[in-house]
Amino acid sequence: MLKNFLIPISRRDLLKLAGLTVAGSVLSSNNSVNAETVAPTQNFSINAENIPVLLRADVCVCGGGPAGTAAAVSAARNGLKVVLIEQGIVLGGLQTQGLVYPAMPTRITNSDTPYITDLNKRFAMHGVQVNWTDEPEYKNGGRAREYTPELLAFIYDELCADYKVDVLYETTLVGANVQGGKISEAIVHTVEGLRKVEAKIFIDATGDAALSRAAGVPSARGSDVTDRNQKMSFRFEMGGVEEMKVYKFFVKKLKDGWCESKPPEFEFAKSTNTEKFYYEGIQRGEVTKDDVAYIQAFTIVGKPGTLSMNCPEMSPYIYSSTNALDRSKAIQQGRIMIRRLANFFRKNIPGFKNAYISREASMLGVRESWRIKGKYCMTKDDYFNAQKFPDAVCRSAYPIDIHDESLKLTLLGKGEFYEVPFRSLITNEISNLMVAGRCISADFPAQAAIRIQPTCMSMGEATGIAAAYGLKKNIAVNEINWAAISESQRSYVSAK
Amino acid sequence: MLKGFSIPISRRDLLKLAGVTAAGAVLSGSINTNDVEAAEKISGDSIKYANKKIPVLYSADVCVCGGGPAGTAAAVNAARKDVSVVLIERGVALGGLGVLGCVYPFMDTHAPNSDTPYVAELKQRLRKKGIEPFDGVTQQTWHNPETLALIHDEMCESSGVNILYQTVVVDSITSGGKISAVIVQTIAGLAAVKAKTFIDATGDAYLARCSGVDYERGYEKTGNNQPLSFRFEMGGIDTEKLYNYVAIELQEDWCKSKLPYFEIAEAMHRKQRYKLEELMARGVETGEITQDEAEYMQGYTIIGKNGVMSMNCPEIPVKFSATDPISYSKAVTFGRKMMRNIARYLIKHLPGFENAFISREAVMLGARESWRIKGKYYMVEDDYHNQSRFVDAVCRTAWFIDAHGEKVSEKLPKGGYYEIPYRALISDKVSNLIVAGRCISASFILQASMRIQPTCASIGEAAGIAAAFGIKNHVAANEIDWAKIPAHQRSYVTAG
Repeated sequence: MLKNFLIPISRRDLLKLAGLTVAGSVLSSNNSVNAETVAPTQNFSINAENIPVLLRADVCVCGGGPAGTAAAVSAARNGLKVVLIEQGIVLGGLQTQGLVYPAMPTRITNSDTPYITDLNKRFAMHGVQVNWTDEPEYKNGGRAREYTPELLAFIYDELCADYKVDVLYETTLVGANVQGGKISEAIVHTVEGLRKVEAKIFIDATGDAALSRAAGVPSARGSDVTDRNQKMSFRFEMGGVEEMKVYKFFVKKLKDGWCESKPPEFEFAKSTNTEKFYYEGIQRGEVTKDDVAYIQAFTIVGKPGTLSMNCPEMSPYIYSSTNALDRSKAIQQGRIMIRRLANFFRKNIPGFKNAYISREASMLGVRESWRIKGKYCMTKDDYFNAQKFPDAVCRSAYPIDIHDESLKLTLLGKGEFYEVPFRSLITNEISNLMVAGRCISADFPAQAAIRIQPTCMSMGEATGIAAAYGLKKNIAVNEINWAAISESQRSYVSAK
Repeated sequence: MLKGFSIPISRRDLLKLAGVTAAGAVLSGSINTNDVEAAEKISGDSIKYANKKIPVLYSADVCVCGGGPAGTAAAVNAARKDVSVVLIERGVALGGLGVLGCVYPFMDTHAPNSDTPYVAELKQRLRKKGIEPFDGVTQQTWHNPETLALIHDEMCESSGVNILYQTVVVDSITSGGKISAVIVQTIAGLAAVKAKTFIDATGDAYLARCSGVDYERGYEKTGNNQPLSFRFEMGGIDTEKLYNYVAIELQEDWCKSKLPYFEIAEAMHRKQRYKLEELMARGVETGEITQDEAEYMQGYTIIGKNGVMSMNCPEIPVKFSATDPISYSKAVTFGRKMMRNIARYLIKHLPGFENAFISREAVMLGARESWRIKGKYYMVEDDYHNQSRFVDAVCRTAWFIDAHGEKVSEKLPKGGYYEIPYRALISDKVSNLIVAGRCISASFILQASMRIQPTCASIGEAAGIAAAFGIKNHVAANEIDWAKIPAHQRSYVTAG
């Protein structure tokens, strides 16, 4: 795979990767890198002249979350050489590192694009038997997309291996070189030092529009009305839970009608019938008002006795997702909240007696941070008008879901849905850049609807297809008319 | 990205950071004056880097890079000596390999009285939270990763350490052999942190390397780094059944302690033969697992997580390098596949694992060794065998030379140990830099002994004390004579 890239990989590295270096072999004797004192290099300076190129490809995708992984796989499937840059050591972003489980449903039929269908089939191949069909009914939070984090991590690796995506793990995007309205290379931080990744097309799937911002694309953040970003969550999982006891407590004792199913598929939340239970905890001094501002917990497919906690949420008045110091403080505050919530559950919910925190998220649950200002900015009117676009890349009926002081969901009428246009994924400023995921061009309320995982995956998929089309037809990606791509090649065709 | 910073901080942000939040929000108490100072820094102080203006997030006395066992110890101990401290961590939890890497438990120094005050305090804090680290037999430190993360946050909070989470060190500004600032990538973009003294606790000697300190990597005889591990946790284990099978039925006496402190192991490359080797060898014969996967398997119960074991495997083949970004990335994918195979095999064949599942993957690879600096004193294998003592010793250990795949030494005689000199933490090249953790100045073979967590924590503790001492007494960090610091201020005084 490496020799496809033809570049600065030294002979030593190639041999080493090929597994040819053995103890005491002659190869290491003329080796200028291993184990001898190495003259310090200038490879740590961001000055572009000095940074070696690590990889060169057709497409460089920044960020390996739901959108980025879909983009990379989709581009590779369409015959392109793809590098996928991921800061952690697992693909899936919020799905795997953020423990955001399950994926919320689009609430509309025929929203599954081929990538999603394929992903679901792979879950079935691994023996996970859940209902993978489009689920039009919004069943109190969903349960339609139960991507067990650890299995999803493995499946994403499989997908990337199958389609020959080169994943660069533990690599952080730090900048971009722009020449003539084009990104020539991304500058990344690796364990070894700063490196460049060259590509013809770049896809920004960082969630924070980090690549776009580095390249000078204008962006917006937060609500025009409140000036606040959406709330961040710090999710965690608890093991050792006796699910039947929990079920009986909520459904029989508290008469909660929130969840319609029984263990092993069960969830509980803070709802009208259970509010009192949490407020009593505040009165007893066991939790704070902020701790229980939002409470939700889901059983996890394949992890018996384990619940995925969709909480705590950190106050958006205090912690902004677009301020580095805030995010840091939010982590510390969130960890304290997690501990208080876990203790509260253990003390007050039968079935939690022997429960323990089994896993904390390794990234904060950011719902919204920066959004690019692209060729088309989706607005809340598009949502309310159930807007269709000739260049639509996907559809959804997920509501405008703003977690702030109070959560108000305005649902569309039955069967109604809106579409996301390709023009929201491209910019006027940079000709070889596409954006996929939560940071596309949309106003604050519209973003609150398009931000869910299936929608992000479908957007990513479309950018991969557009990349291949653009390169083949020699069209800059920000000039592509999605509607002009033949229907058979498109992942989604507008219902218009 | 850079652009965002050139905009002066908005009134809203300033007010928010100052804790004057709008709409009568209740203050959580986590906002302190440091935020105000930081906000002032954002609005006021900036430096030029790569021809752009970037903000200075903090100007502190001490900046610690890396929040693992060494870095956290360094930060807390410096802060306790009343100097201002910033701790930069790329993840969302402190503890490094001990928390993010699932490296559990802390190995035993095998040296008498090796616990420095900070290490003793960690154990005491675990006890206070209901986690007893002593198994009654060995000196391994059994803990609970999630509790350890919380304890680290609490220690930073009480000592006044400013943590910068989700922040990656990418470069330094160094001139005349002195570092004036580190350049970091935050969620908002590039920024700088200024300090008088810097501590490199990155594990990879990243700051030292980018500041001009000499370094080396890997084993001089083979060019290989120590193998990487990709650790994980499994839940749903019937530990009683496992204990009965391994300890009673198979009569394996490897684990000296009893439930809840129980361990299973096999290591084919060791001289010692383990009863579970046969089980793993059978898997190779049937084709269910590979030889690489069977080579090394170990699991420890986790205190406070009933039915969960921390798996000290898979060990990724040595052809994958901890110091090459591409190879490192491939190690992740390869390791994840090995992990899956090992888990599936154990679930199928090891009594007690019938209902087990992967409950958590590490979020960083277990790198035992990557880069090591060449400092004022270079520790070598003889220091181990000779049980060297140093006037400027910062800690003691007798953990054996544990170079996986290369060399495993005999243990030192009972009561024997060697010491680590402060001079192995500093270099001639950079005056205001101290290195702590696995990347101090030592040969590959010696490093294989000093690299364990309690030793790294003790080294960090000394680095923190020295940094504060140097600032208060106007002595450059690399000119400090540890032996001249009053004995009561030192965390460790040589046994001579």
